Amino acid sequence: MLDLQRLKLFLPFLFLLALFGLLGRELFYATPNEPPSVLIGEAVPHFQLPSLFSPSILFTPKTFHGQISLLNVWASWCYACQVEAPMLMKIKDQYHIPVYGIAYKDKAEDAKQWLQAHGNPYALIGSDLKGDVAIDLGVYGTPETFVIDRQGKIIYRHIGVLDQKAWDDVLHPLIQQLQKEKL
Amino acid sequence: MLSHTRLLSFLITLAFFFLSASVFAYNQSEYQFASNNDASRFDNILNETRCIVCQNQTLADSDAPLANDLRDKIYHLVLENKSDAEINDFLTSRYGEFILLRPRLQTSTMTLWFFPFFALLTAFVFLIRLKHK
Amino acid sequence: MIQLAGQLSLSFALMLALLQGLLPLWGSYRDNPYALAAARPFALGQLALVVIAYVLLTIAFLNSDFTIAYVAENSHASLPFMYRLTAVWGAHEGSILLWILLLNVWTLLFILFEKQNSNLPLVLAILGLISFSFLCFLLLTSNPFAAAVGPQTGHDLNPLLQDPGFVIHPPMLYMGYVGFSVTFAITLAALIRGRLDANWANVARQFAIAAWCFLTLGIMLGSWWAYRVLGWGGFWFWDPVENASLLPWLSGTALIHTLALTEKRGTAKAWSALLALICFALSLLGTFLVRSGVLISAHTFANDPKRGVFLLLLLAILICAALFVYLIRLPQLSSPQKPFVPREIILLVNSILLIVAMLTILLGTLYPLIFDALHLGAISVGAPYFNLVMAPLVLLMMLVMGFAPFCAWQSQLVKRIWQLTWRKCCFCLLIMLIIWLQRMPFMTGISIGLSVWILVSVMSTFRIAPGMAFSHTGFAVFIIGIMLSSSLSTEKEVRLKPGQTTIIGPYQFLFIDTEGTSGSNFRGIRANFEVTKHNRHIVNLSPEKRIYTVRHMVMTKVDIHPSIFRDLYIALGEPYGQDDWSVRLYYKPFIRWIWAGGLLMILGGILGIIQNKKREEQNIHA
Repeated sequence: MLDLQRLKLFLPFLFLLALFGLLGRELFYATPNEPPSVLIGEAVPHFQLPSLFSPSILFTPKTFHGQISLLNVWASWCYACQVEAPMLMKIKDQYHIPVYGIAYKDKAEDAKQWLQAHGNPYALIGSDLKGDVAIDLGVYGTPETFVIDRQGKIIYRHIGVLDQKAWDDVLHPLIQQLQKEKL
Repeated sequence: MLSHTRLLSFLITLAFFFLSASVFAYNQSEYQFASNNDASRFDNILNETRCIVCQNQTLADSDAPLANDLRDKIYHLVLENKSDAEINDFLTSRYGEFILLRPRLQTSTMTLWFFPFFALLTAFVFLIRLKHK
Repeated sequence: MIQLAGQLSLSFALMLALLQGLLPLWGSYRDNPYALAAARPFALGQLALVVIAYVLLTIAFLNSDFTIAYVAENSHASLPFMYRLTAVWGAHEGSILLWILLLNVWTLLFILFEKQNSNLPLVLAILGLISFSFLCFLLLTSNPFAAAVGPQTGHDLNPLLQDPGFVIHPPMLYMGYVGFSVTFAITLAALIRGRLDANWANVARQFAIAAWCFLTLGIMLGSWWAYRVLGWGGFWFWDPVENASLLPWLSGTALIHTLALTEKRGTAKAWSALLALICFALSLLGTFLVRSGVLISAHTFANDPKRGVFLLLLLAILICAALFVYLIRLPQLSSPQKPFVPREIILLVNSILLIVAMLTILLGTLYPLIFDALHLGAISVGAPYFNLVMAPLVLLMMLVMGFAPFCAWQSQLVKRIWQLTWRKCCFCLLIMLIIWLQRMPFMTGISIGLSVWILVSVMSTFRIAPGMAFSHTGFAVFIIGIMLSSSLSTEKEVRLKPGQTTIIGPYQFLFIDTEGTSGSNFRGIRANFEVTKHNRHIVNLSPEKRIYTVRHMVMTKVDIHPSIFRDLYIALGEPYGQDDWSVRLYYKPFIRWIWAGGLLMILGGILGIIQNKKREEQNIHA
């Protein structure tokens, strides 16, 4: 009898504990303004974009098969993309990870001029003039970078500038882990 | 009796407004529909979808370029007679449930949708029990 | 100089708050009258020091003293005078200082109005401890007097806050939030003493109504401000921060009604006491949620997890301590066993509806967090959900509200209640029918019908119970405003050049010209419109597009022609060319009724307090 009464007394405290635990956890882990991508674990949705430099060559998800690569959505009118350009060059030159690009709603001339000024880290660039492919990828701002595995599946999405810290903390370890898996 | 006269004049004023009221579709100059049904469906979807760029606005209110693009996409989907569920699937398969301002009824949102009803029921049962003591 | 003086004031205030908190508690435990008597002077001393600190910060803003980081981040040499005064609470640190200041102002009010109260020292002790915790929070994590690093020229106040609506909205809102700390303290003190009597219920109710009035005013002002400033004609968005203010409002309303029951019949003591504690707990929760950064909101404060943790701990300790005292005393809180009377049942039903509404909004607001914590992904719970779910609750509430005045405080036959009300019910059904026949939406018909139901139910009670009459009338007017403005409003977005006209409703808008405009901290373009109706001139409206130079923020300044029966609302969209503009026009009937209803509710609250005072004096003299 006494134990049942004690339990009733504890119940409200348990509820409060749950509430405060929830709030405390979310304080550290919540990123409400950056919702996670729903395409993680799925194959890159099919697309067919003309290459920026030679429009007769088509960029499709088949390109990703057989290697671990990055897909970077950028634009010449996007300031943050300028900021991350050196890092992308570093990833190509130093870490030897292929970087593919999608020029988001960018006129070919503007994009080419931008690449001349900031360097071209991309193995292949698709020209997404209308932004449809970006929508299919769930992109909502530039820059965004996807890590894609050998089977052409999206493993991770990074929102915003790709800096050394993000590379060292998250992307590089992830890529190294993928590289170890069944060659 | 005085209040009844007041109410009557209130009703007459209301009637005046009924005659002049009409419902325009959102941004009617840009998005034309053949049927009123389609127009209001389009309007409803826009008001219930979050603009992911300016996250506190709906697609109906936002000026963001992505919002414009999504509005165009939804416009075409409505013209193709896609149902509300299909349009929602289109949006959520790209942006997740996050983009829908009205959470869809799934196992994970059952608690959310049924809580008020069951809370009320529980409370009233409790009150009746109390009354009979 | 100001910096040092400010820091010192706050540090001394901190010490006094601690003493104000601990001495009376010890004095109560040891029956030491001197320790008990120390409560009042310490409280007054603390108030004085906090006022000094606040005044110093204000002076720093007026002088544009950018050696203080907080001033540098929220002001600029070109900021107009009025906004320098209000920039004090424009961001996190200053708003917490305002919170503490208002807490002490309420403490002063309690001291002034409850001189004779035997629980005074205990109440002051509890308020002192709350103040102490917030002062710790202020000084340790959010010091408004922290020094700026390097020379600063000022970042200017957020342009969204440079509006008359902002001048008064936060102080009123905080007066509401913080006001519930008094009912919390009164209830907790009574619980510690082990005696919850009619006197407790009476005093708690007076302060609850006062806090509720301020909270209603704060919420209404916030809604009106959003309408004026955000440019889309909306007045409520179910934004988490808005919900945070609605939660204590709903439980506050339940508290006021339940305390009436406890005061009159001595029943439902345990429930009233719990509600009093919950109201303030919700205020604290709201304060936490708004600043934590865990929810997406239009109202953002700069987020810092360290601050969030501190605030969460503060919140947790206060609530758990209060709950502990409540549960210990619960067995002693038995109410007299009397058979229920109709008024009692209806007041309890009202409680249930309001609290279920509150819990629903709380669940909906926290649901995205729960989803995230359970790794279920990201989800949005937005306006469509809340509107859908609240509708039946509000309609039920309105139905019950209408019956309330006819339910007696004595035993009464249900038949009698029906006798009093059936004619009025028929009249309201008739109104609903007329509205539906006009092809208006179903919801509009029901809501207006129920609003009329409430209006006719309080028709004859204005003399006997003006508080209830005005508050309920206010609520009915509020609902009418919401339903009519949403079903009858029209909006239009057009592209216009000077000389062109567009029509919305019965009004014609002529775009006359554009001109440059500037203020001390902005430049912009003003577009002039003439509004006519049947060729009769109504008004000239001039919406603007402004660039606030310091923060490089573009603001749309809306122009509104308000009127009792409709608002005309015009905003500039994007320019297509030199004088080629996208213009948004809104025709919003009855939208002012929303805020008019709010004002009537506040009037009802004030009248309720006055009437209560009168009755109290009559009882004393009788």
